[in-house]
Parts: sequence; C-alpha cells; structure tokens
Amino acid sequence: MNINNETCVQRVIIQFYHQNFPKLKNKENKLITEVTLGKDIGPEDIRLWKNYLTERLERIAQMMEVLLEAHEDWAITGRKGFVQMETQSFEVNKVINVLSSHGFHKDEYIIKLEYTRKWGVL
Amino acid sequence: MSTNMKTQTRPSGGLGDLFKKEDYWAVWLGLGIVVVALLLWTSGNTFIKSIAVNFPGNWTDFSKIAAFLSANLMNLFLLWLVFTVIFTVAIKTLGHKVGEFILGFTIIFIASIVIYILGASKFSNHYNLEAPLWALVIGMIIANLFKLPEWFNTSLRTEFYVKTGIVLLGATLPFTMIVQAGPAAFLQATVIAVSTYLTIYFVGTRVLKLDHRFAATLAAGGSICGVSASIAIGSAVKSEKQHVSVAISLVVVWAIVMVIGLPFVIKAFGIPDGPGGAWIGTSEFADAAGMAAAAAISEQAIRTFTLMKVVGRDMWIGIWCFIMALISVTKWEKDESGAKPQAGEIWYRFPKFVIGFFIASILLTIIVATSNPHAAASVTADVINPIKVLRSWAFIFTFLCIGLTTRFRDLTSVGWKPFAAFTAGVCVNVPLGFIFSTIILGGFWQLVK
Repeated sequence: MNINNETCVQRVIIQFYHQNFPKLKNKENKLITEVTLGKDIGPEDIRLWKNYLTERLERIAQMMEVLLEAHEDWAITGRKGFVQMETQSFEVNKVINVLSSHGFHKDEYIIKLEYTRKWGVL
Repeated sequence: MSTNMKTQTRPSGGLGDLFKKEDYWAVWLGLGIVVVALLLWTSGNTFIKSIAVNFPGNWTDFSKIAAFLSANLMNLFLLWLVFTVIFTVAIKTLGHKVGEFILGFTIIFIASIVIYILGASKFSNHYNLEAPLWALVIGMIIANLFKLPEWFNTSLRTEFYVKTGIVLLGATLPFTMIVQAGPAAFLQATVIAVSTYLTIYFVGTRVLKLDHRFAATLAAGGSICGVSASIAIGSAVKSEKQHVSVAISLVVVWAIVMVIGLPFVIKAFGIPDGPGGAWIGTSEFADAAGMAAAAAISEQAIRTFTLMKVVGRDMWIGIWCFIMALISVTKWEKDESGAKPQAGEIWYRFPKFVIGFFIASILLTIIVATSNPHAAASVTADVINPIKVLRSWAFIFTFLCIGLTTRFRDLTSVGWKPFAAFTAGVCVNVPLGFIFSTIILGGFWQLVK
C-alpha cells in the first residue's frame, strides 16, 4: 500500500515477560515454565528461581538485540514483570519474521497492536 | 526506567497518557473553559461573554455585517487569542510544531469567520446552506483542487476540535436530560449497532470470504462509532494495517455521503428536528461529520444527535473491544498463544472526552439547580449562552477541517469486497435508524428539546 494512502498509524508493542506471565489462551506456555516463589520456600527454591531468571533474562536480552539490530526506532521501558519495546515505524509482520528467523518462538513474547488515526482523519 | 536511545517512538502508558492524547486534552480544554467561565461569572467579569462573538442571522445587507465586524474586531482578536493559546499548549505537549500550528490555525480562524458570516445570511437560510455545509464544500473544493502545504496539516485537527466542542456542549445540556434520554439512546443504538455489525460481519466472512479480523474491523466502523471503532477493534483483534486503513477509508467515504444526504432527506421529507438528529446520531459514521449534519438542521437536532451518538454509541466502545478481543483470542487465533484480554481493556478504550462531557453537564446542572431564579438566569445568560457560542466556533473549525482533510485521491483503494460488505451494513443501518428515530421512538425524540 502506498504510504500516502494509509489512514492509520500502527504501533507494535512487544512484551517480554520474566515474571507473572499473563494467562495465555493455551493455558500453558510450551517453551517457558515460569518459576515463582510461594509461601514455603527454601534455599533450593531460590536457586531454581535464580537459574530461571538468569536464563529468561538472557533470552530477553537476545531478543532485544535482534530487534535493535533490525530497526533503530524503539521506545524501551522496564515494567513490573516485563520489558516492553514499542515502535511506530516497523510493521508487526517484520517484527515476527525477524524474531522467528533467529529461532525465537511466538510463545516467548506477547505482541499487541495499537492503531491511531493519521492526522486529520475524521 | 527508560532508555536514552535516539528514538521517534515515545513510550505509551502511565500518567503521561493524560497529556499525550488528544482525547484527554479535549477534556482539559473543554472543562478548563467551563471552569474559567464560572470563575469569571462569580467575580462579575464579562470577558467570556464579550469574546463569544455571534454573528447576527438572516442578514441581507452586507453593510450591517461590516459594521458588526468593525464593532467586534477587538473581541474577535481576543477570541482568536484565547483559542490559539489553549490549543497551542495542547499541540506543543502533543509534540507538534507550534509555529506551523499558529499560522495554520490563524488561517482556519479567518476562514471560519467568512463561513460563519456566509452561513448566517438570509440567502443561505433560504436555500438551507447552513455554515457546516459551506465549511465542508469550501474545504473539499480547496483540498481536492489544490495541493495544501505540509505545514498546514498541523492545524487540521478534526477530532481534537470536535471533542473539545462536545465537552463544551455538555455544559449546555442539563444532566437530567442525559439521564432521561440515555436508556432510549442506548436501546436504539444497541439494536441497530448489533444488527449492522452482524450484517457486515456475516456478509464479509460468509458471502465474500473476507478474513474474520478484517470483517470485524469493517463491521465496527460501520456500526459502533466509525473510525474510532475501526481503530479500537482493529487493535483489539490485531488486524492488518491495510485492513484498518481500508475500514477507515470506507467510513470516511460513507460519512461524507451521509453528511450531505441525511440533512437533505430530513429537510425534504419534513422530518422533525428531534427525530432527525437522532437518526443522524444512529446512522452517521463519524462524530465530526454527524455534528456537521446535525448542525445543518437545528440546535434541537444537535442535542438529539449528541445524546444518540455519544451516550448511546461512543461510550460503549470499550465493552465491544473487550468482547471482540476475547473472541479473537479464543476463536480466531487457534494456532497462536495470545494473552487473554483483561477487563482493564474496557477502561483503556473508553473515549475519555465523554467524561468531560458528563462532568461539564453535571457541574452546570448542579449550579443552576441550586441557585435562586435570578442567579440561575444569570448563569444561563452569562455562562451557558457564551459557552454555546464558543462551542459553535469549535464546530466550525471542525467542519472546515473535515472538508480540508477529505482528499479523495489520498483515500485507500478499497476493493469491491470490503465496499460491498460495508454497504450491506449501510443498507441495514440507515433504514433501521429511520424507523427507530421517527416511528418507534419518534415521539420521544421530538420531546427532547
């Protein structure tokens, strides 16, 4: 589509959760088994949690690097339980393709889209 | 925590949204004007009254208008100054270029004066050429015959002006009227919106084999509240960008057809103003275009239009989005692992300017109801009536911007299938809107004055 004929702006929001994964449609994330801390915990639970976080955060860092290499314009924020990357200048299909081509599965991140009308549109 | 990288995309969410979205700014500016008008009234200051310049209607002799203009030159300048200052604060915070806006808005303001005068003439009155129609036609001729400079676009903020105008409109509508008309508006809007939505969706998916998400985005635009609904549902169900663009283009095309067609039919068939406004509120696709159509009829039509469109349709968009997002994740994304939508989606998608509209109405209703008759009359004369005039100015800016931004060559080439699906919805929406507004609830809408 000719960019002059587009009537909306697409904002792609990618969320990389490391804690408190939101409920997913398929009920369990096939690739990630989240380790959380409950009430009765011992030193071994902390080590398991540490290992999980280390692996997961490394994986998130790798995904971020891939995206930053593919495109410059990102707004990145650290939020409670996840890291969020947003862009208005890189289409969602390209984002998914870049991550897939580097071996990252859709289960490892959550994508949201936010459209806004272009200037002046009714 | 946020990175300091060079970036054009700004992070979303948080309290910053209160100043990063036009929707909120319409609330701040609209309510700000109402509060300032009340404070000035309490101190006996008549500033708001003096800048609320309202050209005399039905003029035939231009020398009278020229005399009125020269007598009100300073007031018009102050009106321009007030609008320029408050809009510029918002535009600057929203990240646009201030210089471009001020220059562009000044041109819009001057053009609005010309349109206001033209629309107030006896000639216009005789041929039903109200100011909104002048604004639309003049704007469309200019936009489609000439290439407007890029910098001018900064000032063409149709949605911003109309939402600010709607918040101001809230101050002129008694809250009791909103409460009384709310259930009827909701009932009428819901029956028609659901019928239209299902028509577009099923024609789109079953007959024309369009993608589910695309059909849902088209259906939202044709049934709920136009472009706002298309972008909200398109976001919620993760539609393709092209599909959202096509839906918006179809909404714009049909909105322009309706903005000229509906007032013409209403006047030609002598449909009373109240039901006429309700019909526009049900069957027009965009707030700004609908306001232009209603304003071309009368003040009563503006009221019934607003009750129907804002209270009956716009404010329910969040619930529609939540339901559609749920269907999208559970039914259409069978091979994907999408996160289930949260109830917070309803609030997130709620059009915030509606809150400003309600607050303005409640505030003025309480003040008038708790004042003695003399003070209540003074509030009406010195606060509500001037706000009504300022609202009319905001709407003239809106109508002119609709015309100036309707560039047919820039609309997406939509293809016959989406057009056919959307048109099927129009064929349900318009007749149903007519039946409900003039026959089933016609008596009710006639009483809303």
